[in-house]
Amino acid sequence: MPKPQWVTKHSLSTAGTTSTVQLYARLRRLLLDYVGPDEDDRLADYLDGERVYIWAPPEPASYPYLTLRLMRTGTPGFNGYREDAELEVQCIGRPESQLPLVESAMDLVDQCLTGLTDAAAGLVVGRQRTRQTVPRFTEPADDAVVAVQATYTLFLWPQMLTSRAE
Amino acid sequence: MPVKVTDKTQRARDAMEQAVRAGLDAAATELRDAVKKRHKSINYYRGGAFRSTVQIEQSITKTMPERGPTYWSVKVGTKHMIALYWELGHRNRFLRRRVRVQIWKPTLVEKKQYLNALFGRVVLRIMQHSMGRA
Repeated sequence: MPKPQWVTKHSLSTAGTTSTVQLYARLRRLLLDYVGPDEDDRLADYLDGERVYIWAPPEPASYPYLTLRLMRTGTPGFNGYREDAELEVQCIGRPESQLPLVESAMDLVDQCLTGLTDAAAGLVVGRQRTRQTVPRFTEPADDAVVAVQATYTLFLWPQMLTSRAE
Repeated sequence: MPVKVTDKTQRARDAMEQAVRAGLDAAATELRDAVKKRHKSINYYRGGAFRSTVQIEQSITKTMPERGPTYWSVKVGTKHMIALYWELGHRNRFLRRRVRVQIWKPTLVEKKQYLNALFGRVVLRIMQHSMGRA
């Protein structure tokens, strides 16, 4: 049996919505390419490079960094073409003095994802979010780590589902 | 022909309050049991000889439904902060790496539709009973 057509060696660099891996890559690229209202206000400046990871960072981690985690919360209907999903974004910093950096990075993420309408490949729409600064942890957790977590509700018409209608 | 009109507004309001309380309580009980069950099958420390989630599992409780200004709410949770650490992920001093084991959120997402349906069933049944329809 042939391998799935859309899973390729370079999936992460081919941003689209033809597979979940590409969907992650698309969202990651949207975040990194977003320019804030102040010119030259980019996420990469806060993260000291393109430190946006899927699920977890490589160890040992450099701070601050961002993680993305997509969770499908689909509801029946829409002939199976539309998906509801929650995208959890965590921005982690260390030491504690990185908190302003972390909050500012998340402000940019908020700007990008709460007004998101991306129809370049499939359709991804984001409008709502919940956000909270994670309280300071104690042992066994490292208390020098600071984090902000936000969950974005996304509505997806990904090509991986809609392409079967073509 | 005389027509007798009975105002059942207050009765309906009382019945609705009772129904919502019962519906939320049923949904919270279901969620609490599901989270407890998942704690039984998952360990925070992989390969650990002891069951690190046992203490959490025993402390999972639910509150009674409460009425807010424009909504009703019920909470399912634990008093142990360690559960929050593992749910959100943390850099563990002993393991020297970032670790995360999600239990609560996936259970809620998995059960969401069922809980909605359960709430609806309970509310409907109580309203039918209270307002005189079998």
